[in-house]
Amino acid sequence: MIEEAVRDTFARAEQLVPDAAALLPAIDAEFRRRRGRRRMLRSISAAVALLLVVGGAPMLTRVMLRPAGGNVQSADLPVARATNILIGGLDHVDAYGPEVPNRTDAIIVAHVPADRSGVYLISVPGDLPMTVPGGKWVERISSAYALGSSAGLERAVGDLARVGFDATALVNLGSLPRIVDALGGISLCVDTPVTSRHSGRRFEPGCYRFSGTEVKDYLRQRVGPAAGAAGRDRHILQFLRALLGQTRAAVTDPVKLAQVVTIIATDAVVDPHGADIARLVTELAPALGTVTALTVPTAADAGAPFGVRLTADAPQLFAALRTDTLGEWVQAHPGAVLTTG
Amino acid sequence: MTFEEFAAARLQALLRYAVMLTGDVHLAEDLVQETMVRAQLRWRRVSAADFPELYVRRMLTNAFIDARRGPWLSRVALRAVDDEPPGAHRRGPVVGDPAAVLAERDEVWALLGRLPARQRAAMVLRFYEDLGDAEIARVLDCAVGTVRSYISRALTSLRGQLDGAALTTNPSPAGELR
Repeated sequence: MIEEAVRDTFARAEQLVPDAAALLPAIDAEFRRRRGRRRMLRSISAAVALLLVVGGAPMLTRVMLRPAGGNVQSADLPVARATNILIGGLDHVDAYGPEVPNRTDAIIVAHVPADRSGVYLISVPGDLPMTVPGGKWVERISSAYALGSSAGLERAVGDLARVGFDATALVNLGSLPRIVDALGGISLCVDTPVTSRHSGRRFEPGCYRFSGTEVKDYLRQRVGPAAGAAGRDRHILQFLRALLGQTRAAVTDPVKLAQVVTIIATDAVVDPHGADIARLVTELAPALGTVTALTVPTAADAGAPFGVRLTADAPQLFAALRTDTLGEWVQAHPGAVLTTG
Repeated sequence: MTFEEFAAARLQALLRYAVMLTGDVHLAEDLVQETMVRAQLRWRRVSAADFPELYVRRMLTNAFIDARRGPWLSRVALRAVDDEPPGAHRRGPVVGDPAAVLAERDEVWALLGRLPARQRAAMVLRFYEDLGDAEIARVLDCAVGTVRSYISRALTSLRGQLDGAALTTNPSPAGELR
């Protein structure tokens, strides 16, 4: 397909790009020349120092919590209620920063039933369509964050599934490799051979340990037909499930686990109307022992705006989220559950 | 945010974008350097914008589009006509030729280089930056329908010039869509 050839061509061309830091002195010299001021030393050292800091920046996570009723309350999540957390994975290799619009290719609803028996990670395919507010045209749901920020993403996924969210978290996928390396690598199972169009690295079927760099490379690859977003979503789910499982295995004390997860979310910014993230995590921590990953049922459809539409099973899945009966839905639809990885 | 912070965070990504736009490492470096100098000169205005990154990306894209009409046009056109491997440049002897990384001449890359500037920009924003049409429209400051027409014309032009043999990509496994 011509689109794939174009994507491949651009991806391979990345290897031509030199280190941009070499440009900084020239930029500064020219700026100085045009402004006539002596700022060279300060700018170069500041920029170089910041390049080092940015390279080591912690994972960017912004968690904005809204009490489900939309009222301004101090945050007490009712204990006996199913909880839905919307997670958007910011896709680009480098963090654009929280102010910059960006696409969320990985959209995951984390659902924890009222009995805290486990957590369900439900992947929402980014190629599903949504109507842009104003109603004039249709965009991919993965553009919702770029167009409307967290509120826009919440509205788009909320409209799709007819559920409300207790929290919305934005995670910079580009920073996950650092966590992987801190855990000493992560064990993943590959079911479909994948060749990286960026590095040429080949991932063979089988289960083995991935380093942070390998994970980043692997999770960028699109796999399969129709631009391969579905295959990539699956890999991200497998990775998150493995990550949760290995973090949990490393820390068996629920309170300590909650602290570790909170540390991972170092840059969490809490909405002033919202809940206490440490408290939320502590409350949900027992559920992290059992992770079930599934994908919203979709089918390829050439007539759909971006090639993908919901199947007839999808509304039942969404209803199960609202009625806290997801366990039963999963038993009735074993095909939707991710068993490998 | 200071200009230094912005440069530290975004310079590499802007250089990648510029390489995809211009198809040439040295042209890209010139373009980025010029854009960043201008951005630094009016930093107060740039940093006050809602999205400084978008502002600078727009500046860079406009500079690329304008330059394609001017003196750079002859350099780009010459290169495309000669079908030089991507990464070759005209500044002198090539040391450590980065084109060696690409095992063979890439026909698609050469064809992309021949597209009109706005079509090429739309293609880079869609197939490299993976932006949606609304986002591309904001960078190019045009209507969404215009974006779609740039991309559709570019794809048609590429398809027309490529024969089937040139469309071999990495064999993709028969993935499933759940």
